[in-house]
Amino acid sequence: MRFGSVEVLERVSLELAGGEVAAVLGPSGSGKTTLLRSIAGLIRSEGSVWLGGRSIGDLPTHERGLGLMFQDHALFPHLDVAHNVAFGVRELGWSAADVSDRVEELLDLVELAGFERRRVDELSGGEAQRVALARALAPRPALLMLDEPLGALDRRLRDELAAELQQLLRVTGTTALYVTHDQDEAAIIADRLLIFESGRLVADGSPATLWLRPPDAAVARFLGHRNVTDSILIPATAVDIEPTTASSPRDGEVERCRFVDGAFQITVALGEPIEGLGWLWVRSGSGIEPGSKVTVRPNPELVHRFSPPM
Amino acid sequence: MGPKLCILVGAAMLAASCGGEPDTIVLLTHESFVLPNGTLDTFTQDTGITVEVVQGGDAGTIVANAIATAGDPVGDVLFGVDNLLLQRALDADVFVAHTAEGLDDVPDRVKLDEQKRVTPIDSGYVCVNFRPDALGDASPPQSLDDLRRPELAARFVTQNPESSTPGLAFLFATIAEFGEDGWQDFWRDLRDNGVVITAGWSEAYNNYYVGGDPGGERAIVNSYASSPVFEGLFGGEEPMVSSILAESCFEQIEFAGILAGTDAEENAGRLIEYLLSPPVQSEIPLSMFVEPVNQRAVIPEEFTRYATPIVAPLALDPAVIGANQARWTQEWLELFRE
Amino acid sequence: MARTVQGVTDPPGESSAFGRLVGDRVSRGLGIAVLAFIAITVAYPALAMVRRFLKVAGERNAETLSFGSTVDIVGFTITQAALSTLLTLAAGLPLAHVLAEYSFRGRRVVEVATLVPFVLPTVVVAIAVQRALISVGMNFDGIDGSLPAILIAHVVFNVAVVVRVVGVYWRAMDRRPNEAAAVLGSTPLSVFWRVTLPRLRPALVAASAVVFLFTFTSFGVIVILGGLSRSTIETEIYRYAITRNDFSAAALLAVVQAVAVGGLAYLNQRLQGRVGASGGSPARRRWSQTMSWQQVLHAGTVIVITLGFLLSPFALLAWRSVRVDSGFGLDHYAALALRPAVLPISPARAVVHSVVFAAAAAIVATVIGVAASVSAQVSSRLARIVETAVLVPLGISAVTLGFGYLVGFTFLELRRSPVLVVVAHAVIGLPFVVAALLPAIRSLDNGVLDAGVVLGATPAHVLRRIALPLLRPAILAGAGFAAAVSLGEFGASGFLARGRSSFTAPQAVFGLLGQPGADFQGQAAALCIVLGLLVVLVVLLIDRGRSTLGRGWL
Repeated sequence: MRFGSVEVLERVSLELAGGEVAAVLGPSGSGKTTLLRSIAGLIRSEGSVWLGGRSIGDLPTHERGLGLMFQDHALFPHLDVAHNVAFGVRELGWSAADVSDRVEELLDLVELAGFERRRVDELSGGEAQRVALARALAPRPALLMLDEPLGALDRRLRDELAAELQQLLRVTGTTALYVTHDQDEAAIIADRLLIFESGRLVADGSPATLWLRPPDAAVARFLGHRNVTDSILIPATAVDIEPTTASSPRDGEVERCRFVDGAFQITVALGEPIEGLGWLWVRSGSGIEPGSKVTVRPNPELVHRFSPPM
Repeated sequence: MGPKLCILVGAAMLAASCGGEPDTIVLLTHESFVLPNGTLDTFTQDTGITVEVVQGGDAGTIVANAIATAGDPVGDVLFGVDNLLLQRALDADVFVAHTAEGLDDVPDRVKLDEQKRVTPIDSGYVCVNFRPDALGDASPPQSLDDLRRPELAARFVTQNPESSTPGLAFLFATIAEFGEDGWQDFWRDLRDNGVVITAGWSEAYNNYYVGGDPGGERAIVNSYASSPVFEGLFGGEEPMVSSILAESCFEQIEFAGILAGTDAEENAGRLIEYLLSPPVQSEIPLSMFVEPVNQRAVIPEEFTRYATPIVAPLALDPAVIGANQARWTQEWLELFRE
Repeated sequence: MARTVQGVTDPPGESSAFGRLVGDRVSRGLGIAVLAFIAITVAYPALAMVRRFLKVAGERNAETLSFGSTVDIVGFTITQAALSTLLTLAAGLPLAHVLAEYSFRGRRVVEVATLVPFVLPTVVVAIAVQRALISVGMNFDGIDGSLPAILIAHVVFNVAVVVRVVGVYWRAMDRRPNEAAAVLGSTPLSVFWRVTLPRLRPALVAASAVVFLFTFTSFGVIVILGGLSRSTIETEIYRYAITRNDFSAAALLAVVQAVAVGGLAYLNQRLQGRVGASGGSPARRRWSQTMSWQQVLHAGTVIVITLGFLLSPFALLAWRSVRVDSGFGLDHYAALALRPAVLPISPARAVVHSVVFAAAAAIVATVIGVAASVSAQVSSRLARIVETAVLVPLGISAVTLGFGYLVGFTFLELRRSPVLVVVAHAVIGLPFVVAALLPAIRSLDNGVLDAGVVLGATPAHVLRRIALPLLRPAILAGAGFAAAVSLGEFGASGFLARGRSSFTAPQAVFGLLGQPGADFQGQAAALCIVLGLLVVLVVLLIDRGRSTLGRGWL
């Protein structure tokens, strides 16, 4: 099913399938927010936007039937939680009973039942975020766009809420574009990553595919790979490492060893460069004292060669 | 005032915009114009003419209004031009002549325009008031000249002739008393001996004069001959009443005139005659606290109980005032800025 | 897709969400309507006055102004207005701060109480200030006048403008940047100077402009407290027009004043700049429910000192109003229902007239003021002209306007119509509405408006369901101001000829104060108290609409 086609920013063109959740990933200033605002019609741009076979690019924002969750939530400060959530469905002209059913349903969904009469300035960051989500979902938007919705929260809460969000999006079958600059968050939320760089879409694929086989060195570096040259990528997890006493050209010396995210991150100064790399970053289940001599062996199946630029 | 259009702008605003009767005339007057309720209704019953009273500021303002709108006046009759302002109004041709019935009962002293463009209605006096009990060891003033004595000048408060009508009348009183050659010396003595000048009557009387409310410490104030009457009638159960320095009084005569450009000249004349008639004239003392000019009017005892008779008021010819006022007030100002 | 659209951004201030919702055409239409209103109610009468005065003066050009004295007068006019503005800001900001930072019972009453001096006719405030200064031993010989006394009276009168215009804006301001500065090591004072004050600029400039122009045309205060040596353009126009009937000089000064005001209004508009959204969402603000004892002490001290200063003239009047022969009583209040000998109607009826005029003037001023603010918030030449034009009525002499109405509106017999009184009051109220509303519109959180559009609301719905409720405090602050100004106004309308149905409370106060007699003085004091309490009541009443939580729909 051809769901939507978007062209913005230097001939960017992308399509989302129904129910698909795509994360838009890129550094600040890469055009992520502009993409969402263009799709929403909040800024004028050339190009077309199709939604379920209907061109909506020329429609005013309020007729596009989209959902957008803002960076700082943009809750209506003069309305309580229930009225914030009800805002969109009231625009659809629903009856009061339907509106209140829908509000109840969504507040249940985001686990905020009982918060109906709360003032929005009394909510915690996580609560405000969930109200904003409920508000955006209430009118059943054909496409929900989320602009760094977890940006201001702390790491632990962020991961937790990202997982919840992913669950919610799947349960509700919502098609979503999720903007973030955090690739872990993107990987938790989305089936598909869209990587932007200076206003261009530079990579499009599943998180695993892009991680293991990024299209070029820039994308690889953006994703956090360290063992990258213009032609080759050696994932840090794709290297066997063991201490040695022999002194072959392949050997190296451990410079640093740090414990990060549940594994040891070992920096090795190579005696002889591999594919132009003088250093190798290795992730390993066990640590090695700095100064130790080691042998390193990249797993040839996981070493990725970039296709030459056309 | 010609055919009138009724403008609907909201219920609250209808009153003055509406009204189609050709027999309505407009009386333009100052804010102090008060007659007992019903006085003008009697006129309407007698003549079929309805009077719409419009007020706009003090006497100076309505005269300026009449001059600025000369030929296309806001009203048909103007009441409230006095002898201090008369000449400038006459010079601007704002009135048409009218010989009012009843003028024979008015003394010649107050008939200041030979061409009868204005008709005298009432007469009051601007006088120095004082409290003998607050003078301490100083002896009470017997004449205007006495006020220059240091112990009296230091207890005297009066008003700026450029911002206050009683202030202007008092300046004229000193000019009438001391002449062109003497008035400045008198004022120099007042100034050097510590007179206080205020912008308006209210500050002089209520902030400086011992008899004011809350009052100050000065025992002598330039005010009106009617001030003791007010004090007596509206000063509570045991009123303190000021004394009048009769020798300082400057007469202030108020006139009514038909405004040039009116299309109701005849009805306007009838209103002026009504104002001059003995029944209305008899109402004047206790409504505007001045004396009627019609000698057939009855002055109530209440008014005379506290009033001091003024037999020989000071006066200046309106023509002389008109010709010299700007120069005098300028000289007065410069004297104080020296 | 021939052209690249990278660089499509949403530059702040250039085209705000609010501006997009209103639309260019509507903005322009409203702007033109506002300019037309000002042209008819201010520019046309002012020109008519100048033309007529020059014609009446004719060859009787007895006295002309000297260039030197005119320069002196303009100089003093601007100096005293500038000093008054600075002092008013200094006196008003501490209270604006307390009212913005803290939430406590009675906060609204304190805020509204600052309006009380505003409804007293300026002459009454000036007399009261003179009385208070004499009683503390200040020497007035009435000849030299006193600049400090003028400034004190102006401050008493105008603090309300700063407290309300700045306070409403301040309260809605996101406090995170201040917190950020504090974390970066700024002392509270330094946070105030380096963060708060610059961010308050739109409101500060708006309030300053209003105070400046209000004192620029101050009349009663200058005449009463300025002595013989201090005069301003306003007092000189009055002197030449009314006292001396030197109409050509009055017309000339009116032109000088109009030119000066035009220049100052333009300067203000340049100063205000395009300070865009203050950003952040006010919703993030939280007020602690309980205040620490230091905060209570701080708020209490500021409130007591500021209100004590502002309300001292009023306290003198309150004391006077309950003093009767036999001691104390409410006799003077009871007497307000009867017609006193010196007035054409009872003071109570005059109060009713005043309330009707205040309501009508506030409605007109608010409608025009909302239109002006909406059209002035976009960036266009027309918007800048509108923003400048709405300030002008404040700086135009009461004599110019009053006589302008008398000689300009001769058609339809408008001259004696109460409509002119309403118009005269409304044009003075208009700048207050704009001063309260325009900074609020400029600091609206664009994200919230966008959120409404994305949720499917039409622009009209977003304006009504989101922008209007968020702007309501500012609109009501402006409307309350316009009503208060009208209750005490005695400028241009004082020169209009009006019937008894238009006899208002300030006229009644003057009538009562104009003659000796303890009864009249007591009643005048009682009438002032009634006016003061009335404004508190009226403003609190219209403010009840402020609490709109959960009532955003329709």
